[in-house]
Amino acid sequence: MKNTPRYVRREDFEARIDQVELPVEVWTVFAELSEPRDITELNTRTSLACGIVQQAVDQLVTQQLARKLTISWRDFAAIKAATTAPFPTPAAVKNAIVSVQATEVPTNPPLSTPPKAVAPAPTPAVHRQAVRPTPISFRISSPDATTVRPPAISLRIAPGGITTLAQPNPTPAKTSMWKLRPVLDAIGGKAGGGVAGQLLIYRVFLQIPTELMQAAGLHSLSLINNDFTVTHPEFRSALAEAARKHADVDIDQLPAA
Amino acid sequence: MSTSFETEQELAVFIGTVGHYFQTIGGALPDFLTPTLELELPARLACTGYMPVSGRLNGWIALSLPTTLINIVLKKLGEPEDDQNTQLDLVAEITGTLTSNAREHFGEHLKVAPPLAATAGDFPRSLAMPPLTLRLPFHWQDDDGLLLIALQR
Repeated sequence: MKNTPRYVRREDFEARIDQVELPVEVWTVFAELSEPRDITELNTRTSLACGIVQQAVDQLVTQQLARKLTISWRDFAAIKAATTAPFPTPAAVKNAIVSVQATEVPTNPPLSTPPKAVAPAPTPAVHRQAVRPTPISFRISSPDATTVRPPAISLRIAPGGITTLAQPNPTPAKTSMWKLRPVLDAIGGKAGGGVAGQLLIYRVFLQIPTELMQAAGLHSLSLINNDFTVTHPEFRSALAEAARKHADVDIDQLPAA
Repeated sequence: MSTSFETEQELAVFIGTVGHYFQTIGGALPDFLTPTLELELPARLACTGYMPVSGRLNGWIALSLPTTLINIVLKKLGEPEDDQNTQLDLVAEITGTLTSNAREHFGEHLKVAPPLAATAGDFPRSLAMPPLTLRLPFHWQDDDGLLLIALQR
């Protein structure tokens, strides 16, 4: 097992690659980083001097097109154990490993106060002529009648400040790495879950500046099934304030956030 | 500070009326699918009825339907025509019914204006683009429609 630093393309490099121009030798190195490689390997494969390779790698890292390869302690220990004499097993160091489990989605309770039913009203004049002289009518009643799935949370995430837990981070901190799902569950639950809960989540997120959402990589936020972890501190601050102000939720008090 | 959730619960009732509409004409409630919050205005389906709201909330709510679903409804209503104008008229009629019921139910604190019907590529100029949209897809009679909630901050 080599102990020299190894580099690889970032998984989200395509989001930035069209916006940068780099010297040919840098792209030459980048072309070799589809797999993790160290400076010596890159030197051999590109025939560029080690100094130039190192500078190229530094530029690629700065441009967020490549990253230094990191692995978890468990993987490191497993590899080490396979290549050397006795070594501490993963079980022996399990307390040092961050483990995060997905949380279950709570079932929505019904609205505490069903809305008042009203008589159907005739179709009003609209901008286009109605198809039928007699409109379809119905009564407004509780939204319970509609099949609504519980407001669990997931994210479809553009490249940016969001990572999954599959990416190793040896020093996770509450302020720099946190799960969004329990936050959204807490907000949705405040309004009784269901569509009302989703609307309250919407109201809270509506308060967060668009630029901050974009910076955090939140271009589309799905409300079902996600275990993503957010790492954007300004976004977290804005969400915390909006959640407190509009949903009476203190995200710092949430155990899994 | 606003931590009263009455507005959300009332708006949820309004959204529930969409389900009641389809139940009334087709006998089955739609299944609401995974909702999403979208920074960009989501693509609309073939015909969309936009319902402007004001009062406690400002913005619009839209019902967007694909041609296939509209034609199913037209067939159930006994309407022989299924050209685009007829499809737009139907979406206008559906959203007109929804807004009419909403006016009866919510009164002055949530004003719902008469709807505007438009095809997929058109967006009514009188409506503001929202900073964030709640997209609520639903499934009914083997087709998927959309509800869009687009409010201002």
